[in-house]
Amino acid sequence: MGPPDVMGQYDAAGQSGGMQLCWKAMHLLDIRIPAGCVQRGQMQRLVMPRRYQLDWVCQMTGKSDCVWLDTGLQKLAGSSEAFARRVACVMQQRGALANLSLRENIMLPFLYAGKEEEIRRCSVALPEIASRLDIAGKLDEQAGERSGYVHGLIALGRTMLMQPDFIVVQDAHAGIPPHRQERFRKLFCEMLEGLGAGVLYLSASGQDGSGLEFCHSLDFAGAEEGL
Amino acid sequence: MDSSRTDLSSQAAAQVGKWNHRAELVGAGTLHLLVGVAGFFVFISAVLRSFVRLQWLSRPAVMHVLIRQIYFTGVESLPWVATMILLVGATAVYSVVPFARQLNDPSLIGTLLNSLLIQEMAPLIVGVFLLARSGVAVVTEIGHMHVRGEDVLLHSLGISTVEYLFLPRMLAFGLCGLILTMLFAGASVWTGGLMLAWTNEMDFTQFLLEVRRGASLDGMLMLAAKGLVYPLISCSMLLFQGARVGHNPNQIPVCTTRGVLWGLMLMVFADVAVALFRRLM
Repeated sequence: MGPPDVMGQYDAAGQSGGMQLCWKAMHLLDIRIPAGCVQRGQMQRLVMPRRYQLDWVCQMTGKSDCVWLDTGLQKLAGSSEAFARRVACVMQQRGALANLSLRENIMLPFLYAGKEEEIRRCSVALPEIASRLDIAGKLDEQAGERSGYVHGLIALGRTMLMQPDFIVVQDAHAGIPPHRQERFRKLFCEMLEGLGAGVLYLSASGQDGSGLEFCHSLDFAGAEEGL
Repeated sequence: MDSSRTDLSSQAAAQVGKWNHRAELVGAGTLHLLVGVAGFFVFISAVLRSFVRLQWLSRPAVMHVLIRQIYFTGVESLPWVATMILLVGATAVYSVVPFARQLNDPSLIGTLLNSLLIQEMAPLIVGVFLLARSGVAVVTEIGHMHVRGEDVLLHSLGISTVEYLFLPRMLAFGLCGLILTMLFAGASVWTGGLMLAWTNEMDFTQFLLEVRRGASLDGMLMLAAKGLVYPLISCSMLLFQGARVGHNPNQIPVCTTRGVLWGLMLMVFADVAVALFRRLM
């Protein structure tokens, strides 16, 4: 599928006052990603090798302001705290800090923001979410070295508490053992249904195992061969 | 004749080429050093900005890190500090008191203990101890976090690595350095005095009076300043090196060694600078 008509989408969003996650044209290592955007509730995929995906995430959270959230009222830069509160990231093998417990890892953005009300809300909601994710008994264990599946579950738990408008997924379904894949896919889809968030999926392959229906998919999978 | 001239000119050209190569090496090394120094100052200014904003006070996650670091750096190191207090206190008094007695000048006891043990040795020993014990742990921890990509995770959560990773560690180093230095200075004098009394070398009260006579407010303030600043500058170098590990695990031991050595050098440089400054004043 070709690149989306970016300006057209911007106009449509502007007229409807919709929220969208936008990025301008940028260079990731040796490839050029065209400008684009994802509307709330929409799912898009960029297929590219893993190091390009990580570079994309770094560009998003860095000071380059390549990625921003257009709420209709204001534009939140990717490096801002307000952006991170509304755009969650689910990354492969990067869901937890090793020296924190699972509970602290899930609660980390709220403990950092320091808003009492939010912390109380999350503390109340966490046990139920943890039991749904089947990690209720492990909440006070130190994260240490965990499998990609547990990293994924921690990221899902955090995202459920954050209730973001958009989720950027960095190949989170890859590297999960086959017997866990189905369950992770189910949990992920249930969470998406509940949130109604927009998804930008950065994947290494067209067969990412997410089971999601993407409305746009840009393919840069051959990029690494050119290096 | 012509061939010998050609030989000479080619030799001269080779010599010039060699000198050019050396000059290039010196230039590249100097530029590399200057870039490193500039990066270090940018790092320090980012931490200072984060400290001055005071937002960290209202962030439970940052306070948790701070408390853990204080426990690790200050509380868990107390047995080691107590051992050093005992050993250094004994060494200092058994070196100073016989020397003062030889010169038949008891006032030297207070002067020497204050200028050597309290003002010079205490901050340096505590600084080196923190560098060796907690500093190495700090660099390797930060380095491993970068290798595992935890910095990317923190950024994606909107968490400033300066505020969450670096500032609490620097605060813990500064605070623990200050407290441990004051404790070290006071307790080593007392321990030394008690040892002298126990071996009937000198009366404990007389010893304390001599030390009190040699003490001054300036000296105590200098001790506090050194106790705070030395661990701070060494910790900032350690964190700076830890952050330079990037995603290459092979860089962890390299950056740890570099961090410890540069941290030590900075402390010694600072000590020399303070001594010169006081001399000039």
